[in-house]
Amino acid sequence: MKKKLTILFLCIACFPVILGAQTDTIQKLDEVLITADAQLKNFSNTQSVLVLTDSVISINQPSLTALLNYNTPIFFKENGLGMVSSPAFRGTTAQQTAVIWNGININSQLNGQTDFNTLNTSDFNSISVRSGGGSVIYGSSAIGGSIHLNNTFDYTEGFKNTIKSSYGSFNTLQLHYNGNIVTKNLSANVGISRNSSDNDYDYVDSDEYNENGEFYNTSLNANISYRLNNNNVLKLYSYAFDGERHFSLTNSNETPTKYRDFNTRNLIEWDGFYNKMTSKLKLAYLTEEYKYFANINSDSHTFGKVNSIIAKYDFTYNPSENITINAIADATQNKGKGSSIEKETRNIGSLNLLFKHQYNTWFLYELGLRQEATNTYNSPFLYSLGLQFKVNNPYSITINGSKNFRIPTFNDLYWEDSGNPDLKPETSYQAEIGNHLKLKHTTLSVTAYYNDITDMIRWIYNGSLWQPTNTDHVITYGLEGVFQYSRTVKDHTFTLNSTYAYTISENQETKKQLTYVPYNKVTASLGYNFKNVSAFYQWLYIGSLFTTTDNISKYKIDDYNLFNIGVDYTFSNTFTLGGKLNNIWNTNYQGGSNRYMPGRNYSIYLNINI
Amino acid sequence: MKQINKFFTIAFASAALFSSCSSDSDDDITTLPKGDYDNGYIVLNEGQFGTAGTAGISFVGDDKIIENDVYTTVNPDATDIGNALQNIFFDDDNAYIISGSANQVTVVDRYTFEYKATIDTDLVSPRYGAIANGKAYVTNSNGWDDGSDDFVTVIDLSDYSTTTFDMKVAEKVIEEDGILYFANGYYGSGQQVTVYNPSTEESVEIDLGDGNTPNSIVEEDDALYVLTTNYNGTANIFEISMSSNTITDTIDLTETAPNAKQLTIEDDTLYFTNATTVFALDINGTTPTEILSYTSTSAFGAMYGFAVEDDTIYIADAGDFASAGTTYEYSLTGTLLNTFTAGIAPNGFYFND
Repeated sequence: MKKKLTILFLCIACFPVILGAQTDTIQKLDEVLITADAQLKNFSNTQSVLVLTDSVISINQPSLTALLNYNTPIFFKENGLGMVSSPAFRGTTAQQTAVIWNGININSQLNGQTDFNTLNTSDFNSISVRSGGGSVIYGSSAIGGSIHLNNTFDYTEGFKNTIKSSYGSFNTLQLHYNGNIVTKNLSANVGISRNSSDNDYDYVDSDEYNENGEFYNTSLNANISYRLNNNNVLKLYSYAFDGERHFSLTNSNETPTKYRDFNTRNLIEWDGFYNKMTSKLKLAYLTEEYKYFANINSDSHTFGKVNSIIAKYDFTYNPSENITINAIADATQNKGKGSSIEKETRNIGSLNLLFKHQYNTWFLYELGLRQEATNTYNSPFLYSLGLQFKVNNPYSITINGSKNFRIPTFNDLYWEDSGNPDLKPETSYQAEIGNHLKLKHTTLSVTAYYNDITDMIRWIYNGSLWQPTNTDHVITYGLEGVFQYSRTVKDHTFTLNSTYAYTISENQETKKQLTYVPYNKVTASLGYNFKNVSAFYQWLYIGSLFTTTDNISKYKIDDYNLFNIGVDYTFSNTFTLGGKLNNIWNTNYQGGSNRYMPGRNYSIYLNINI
Repeated sequence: MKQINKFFTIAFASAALFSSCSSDSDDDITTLPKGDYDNGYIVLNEGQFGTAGTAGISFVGDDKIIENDVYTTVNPDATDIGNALQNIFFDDDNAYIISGSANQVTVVDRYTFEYKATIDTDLVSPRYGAIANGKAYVTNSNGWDDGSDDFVTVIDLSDYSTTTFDMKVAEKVIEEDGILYFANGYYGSGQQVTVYNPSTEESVEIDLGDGNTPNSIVEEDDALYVLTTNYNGTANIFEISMSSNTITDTIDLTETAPNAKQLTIEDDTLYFTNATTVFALDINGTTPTEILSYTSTSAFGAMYGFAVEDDTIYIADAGDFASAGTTYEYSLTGTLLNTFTAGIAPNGFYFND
């Protein structure tokens, strides 16, 4: 009965019929199609998308930084464990990496980036990394690439509960509860996470320790899908994050500071599936707020706050099995204010047109266009074109070229005295060519890319104050490799996932490598599973990188290798007891200049599934 | 012809060499250098914003060779000097280096740079310091608000014990004849000079008038010179009599230098900057003359540090604040003499001789 229902639902969801009519066609479908972020599946054929599976996600709990650092080519600068974390994706800046939550861009409107230590991986059940330009689909910041955090729905009827708990070094406590209930027309899940840590680790080879580094955070999420009838589904996604971090000191005489984040994201979506047509109406309300306390012993603080309303209409038409046409209209209003920002409102409207054609069995092309209009700056016309050639069955080639942008942020435009209303968006022209090999147990893809970014906004000192200006011209190019291997022999399953990134990111005026962009990064992770036992071994290599714009070797951060190991055992299909040892060889390394990271540390965990 | 030219060049060079050698030995007889860092000047590098370990001290000797990271070279294992190095003040033996972010003052021998002590009590965002009667007085911005919570740290230099007293918008400070003169102003806040007598702990406040925010203060021959800018776009130099604590003259700079700053005085001439231009003004004059306009390769971090000593103008260029800065020496007529690659974000010059 359950199975039948599941199939029926999938069928309704993905192969739509005329309103009210029934269909008898039963097809096997990919569950991904029912996520809010349909374009990730439909319009990413000519770019590489790295899907991080549940087992990978569970290894590197709880911060998104750790997950992506150990499993993707993205590099992270981290001001000490759990502190502000900024990515460099394909040699670009933190503001050129978009974070997409259930199809909605959630980069901060204030500073244009996402702090990857303010998202808990346990709140999402599907995390993907899409390399390269995506502004046509996802808007601002999708220049280096985009990170997709999705909540997918389970349609297997029943009631499931998951409790995860973990305790480790530095009094680090992690708790997570997830409840999932599925009835005939309803699939709902509710999650709550709590993380806290004293985070007072001793520096390796030093008498000093990580002072004033403690943090806690709580996040809540609720996701509901309700089937109104055979053709209409209502979905609600809700997420709230509340966290406080003390910012660790680099000198024990510094004034201790702290930072609070409070973010909420709500999305309501009405999906209609009709013959050859899919209609999705989305309304989202996002709030972001930070408070910065320049002295933890004082209540006085600075703050910034933006509330955003987004209305989106997303219409897909499949005139034939091989053609997909997708049009999206979007209206966004951001209202922001802060201790240094007067009350400001920004309205942005956009129109997208996406087209995909599987021309024949070996050739596919996709095309995208986007135009935004806003009251604050001139928005360029964006486009993308992708080609896919299935040369010979296991081997295919993809080619993609696109124009992308990063819009000026609230801080850039409106900061008291400094804000520059004449800023233009940063623009990027990029091209990539990917080689993909897909064998029975092995997949390998190697992508070469070139990205020319102009009008990059930098805050510069003009003699009396700091002011953002369109100034830098940066060209990035490099190679990205992803290798995956999985094999099961009798009860033994082995997996090997590995990524490699070679990155040149050069300021065209100075001909110097951008700061915090390592030339080389390697990740590898070996998994082993035998009956109730599973184990993993991870390796991360970060090549040396510069911290000053003139690449002074004295201030270089040397390359380092990190290794983690873990094992767990599952009893009676309900309890999983495990342990993890991080930084096995007690390597002394820096997350940022003079930001020392922890040496060898451990955690033990118990997960309960009922 | 070519041969002869070469000969003359060598001959001239040798003569110059001989003469300078002999004069050096003469000097050595009378004043032996007190350390490796005597006879030259110090460049203070504030470091990359928010990044520890990037600030430092550079030294340019009379040989015109710059040595960066003097502090860590001399004291490889000593306490961190801190970041956001803001100011150095001196007594006969010691240099006191203020770190704005690390809330500390590092004491070193001013000629050898050997580490002596770190003072880390009663300091919150310290700015500038001066010494009177065996005590150091350091201004503190505290919470970086409108200046109402600012204070002065008093450091007893015999045991480095500290006390504080409140002073609104406490910023630059100089000492003359045992009296301290505080310029109370920054970022458009404050419009007065506080004259503080350490022995009586009494102070006199001199009002500079509405919106006239002092940004630099110097003294010469019983007179204080205070440079102010105003949010209404005007700039003035106030001359204050140190015997009567009253304003005796005002020089309006609005027309030539509306954003004037970095006032200094050398041989009865006042020098100040406006953007990338250096002006000179005779101590009895009223009209400043432009002596050099400095072109920066980076148009944005220009004129981050400025000083005039003897016959030389010193300019520091902070570049993009995330790479090594550059310092320049110019003659008083605006001829470029020397260029040096300093540390990150050089902001000041201090003379050891």
